[in-house]
Amino acid sequence: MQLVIPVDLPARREGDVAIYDIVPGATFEIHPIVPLPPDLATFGRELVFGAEPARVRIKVVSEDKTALGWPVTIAASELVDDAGAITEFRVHIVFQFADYGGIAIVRAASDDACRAAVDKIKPLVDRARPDFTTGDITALAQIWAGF
Amino acid sequence: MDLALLSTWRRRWLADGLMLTSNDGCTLRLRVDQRPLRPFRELVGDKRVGELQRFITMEGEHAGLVAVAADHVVAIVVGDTSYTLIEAHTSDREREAWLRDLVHTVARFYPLGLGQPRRRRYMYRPPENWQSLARPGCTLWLAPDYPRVSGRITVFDARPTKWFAPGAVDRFLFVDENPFAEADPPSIPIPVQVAVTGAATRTSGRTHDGTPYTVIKAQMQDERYIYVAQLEARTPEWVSFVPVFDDVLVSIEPVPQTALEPNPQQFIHWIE
Repeated sequence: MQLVIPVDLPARREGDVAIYDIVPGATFEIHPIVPLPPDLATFGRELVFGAEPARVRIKVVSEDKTALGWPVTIAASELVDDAGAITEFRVHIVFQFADYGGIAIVRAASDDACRAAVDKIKPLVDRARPDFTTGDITALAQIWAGF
Repeated sequence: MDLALLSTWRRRWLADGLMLTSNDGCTLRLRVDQRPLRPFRELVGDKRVGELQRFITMEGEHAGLVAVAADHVVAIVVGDTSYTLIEAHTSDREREAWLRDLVHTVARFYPLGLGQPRRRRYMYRPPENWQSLARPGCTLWLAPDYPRVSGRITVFDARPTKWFAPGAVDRFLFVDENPFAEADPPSIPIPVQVAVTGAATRTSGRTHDGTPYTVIKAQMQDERYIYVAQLEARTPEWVSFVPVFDDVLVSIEPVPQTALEPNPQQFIHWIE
């Protein structure tokens, strides 16, 4: 199962996460699809705030749909240090694909790089789609496929 | 093939099953209760294989067998969520027929022990190029370019006809879903005559967000099992998915019968 976003750049992988240097000073991460919990708001908050909620400042949250009509939530936030200085500009993009969620994240060192990255990924996000294929069997007929 | 011959073979337990070895070097390897279910072709590997022989086990489970080589035969016995792989080798390539018979017999009598009747999947032809999601007790199929193209088909696992109270709860929890905020009365049932017989009803209405929506539910039944499949789509689109839904329905193969079920005929002499 994977979140398919047609990024035309080479990716490096950290575990199951594909990372693209989308523009100078900003990366774009595509995470594996995960089962969605019943409480989507909490899921989204935990994703954006992580283990250090005090260091995260939410700037804006918006709801949208992909070209295919999958709901997508976009949350822009800033990560700050103890002194309140911004250490990272982020945009979390959470797709709702039926029972599953797709996650993509922009991380940037500057506001300008973050804006440039968002401009670049916007049309890609619009074309995002799920690939629910796991290789597991969902119908008995698939057992006999290939013969 | 008399499987009593296996009693003379040496048994070695393995973490995933066991291996039996005969005095003349034949081996029978059983990988038991393997998960998740995988295509048999993938389990056999890239090797060229003979023709697939599908059959039903004595317990009424799906099974298949292929010869990978003259001295190597593999069979699969398919459970609900796992499978057992049975593989035999011989050093004597002249014994291909014997080897095939051995593996076929072991597979045909293989004791998965899942019991009958039970809620279980059945064979049908999946909608081509639709994506699928396994859900508890059913599989959801989404049309290409879903949700812009709104068709979805749910094929529910077969439910035993005599399931009574748990079966009723199963219907409440997993089968009967009402997506409508308001709906017209269901259509007059349309007979469905495929490998199993039943009827389909169409209900149209509006979902909670006001979308015009249509659900067609087909319910077929034989003396052992109930088969339910459902097509849903936005009302202006539902007709376009009917051929796909029909194709699923006509391809349904009823749940195989176990050969172990008592045949009422065998007791007929009691009443004569």
